[in-house]
Amino acid sequence: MTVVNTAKSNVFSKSEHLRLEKSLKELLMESFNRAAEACTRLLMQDMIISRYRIEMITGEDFIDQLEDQMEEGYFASIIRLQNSVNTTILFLLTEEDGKGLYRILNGMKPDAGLPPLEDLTDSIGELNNILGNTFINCLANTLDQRINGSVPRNTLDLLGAILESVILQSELANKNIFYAEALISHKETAAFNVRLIILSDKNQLLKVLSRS
Amino acid sequence: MEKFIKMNEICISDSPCLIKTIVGSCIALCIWDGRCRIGGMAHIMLPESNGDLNAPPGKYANTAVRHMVSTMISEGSAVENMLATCAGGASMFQSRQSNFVTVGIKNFRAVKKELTGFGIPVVTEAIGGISGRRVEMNCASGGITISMLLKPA
Repeated sequence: MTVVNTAKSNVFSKSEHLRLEKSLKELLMESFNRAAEACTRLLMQDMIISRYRIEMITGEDFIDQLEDQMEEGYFASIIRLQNSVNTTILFLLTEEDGKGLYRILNGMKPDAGLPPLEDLTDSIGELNNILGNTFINCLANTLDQRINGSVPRNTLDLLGAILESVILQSELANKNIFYAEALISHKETAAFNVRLIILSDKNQLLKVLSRS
Repeated sequence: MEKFIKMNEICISDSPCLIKTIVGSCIALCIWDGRCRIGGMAHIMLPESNGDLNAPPGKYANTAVRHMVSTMISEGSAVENMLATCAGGASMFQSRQSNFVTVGIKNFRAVKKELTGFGIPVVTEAIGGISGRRVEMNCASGGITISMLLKPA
């Protein structure tokens, strides 16, 4: 037996769907800009959004898009939104950039020795905590809803392993997702490429947005 | 020749080649028939297909194992000669003290259940933990290499 949910609140007309998607993109761009500002304040360096992309794709397509970088080592940190839309905020930094950022955050010289990896990943996670909460606050204010984020979970691993774990643990593997990514880089040198990725259940997100 | 398999893909070969993948929570399943020198690898994402007929067979544990076994048999292999190796099932963003059964562990259990149904022994397991794994299978020798970016804590 097939059960079809025909509740009117779950159905958007095409024009309404387009309008909601447009609103969502604007909201995300605003949130990314706030995150870039927070990055600038934190690092005391001029950081800007050097590239961004916003797409509706499946979880599997999301991973396919980054296929050529799968074997690279990345620092990663995730925050999941709680009591709200199924959304994951993923923060990625190459191993080299992560070490560079740690030195800046701690006022160290570029060639200074580094602490154990666990301390490094925790530091990267703290940066995600700040950027992620900037994003969450912006989302909560716009939607006029209370949204909480989880404690960041951090790792240093191969990008391929990170991405598939994020998709599986977020239970987004079989869903259409709203994928937004901003690359936050140093304005002049293009150094420190901070990748802030938002993965969200597209249908849930549109429903929440339609009520706001 | 090298072949990198992505999530949900299966690669089976009876000629010398190196099959590679990277897994986190997913499972890399390698099956090798040393007598016929046929081997293959699947990058499995979820435990059960639950009637999802449109998905590639490598996506689910139940369909991936069946597809690999039937393909290898069609190429001359026999089930009684097959040996399996499983790697992956990590919970990379969870507490290492957690007793929670993760999707990775569920994946592995589902793979093992299917293999047991065919009577295929799992000779090597590298499952769980908090790190992703790079898995390489040499289809000329059946040799399998499993490595991590970082050593397990």
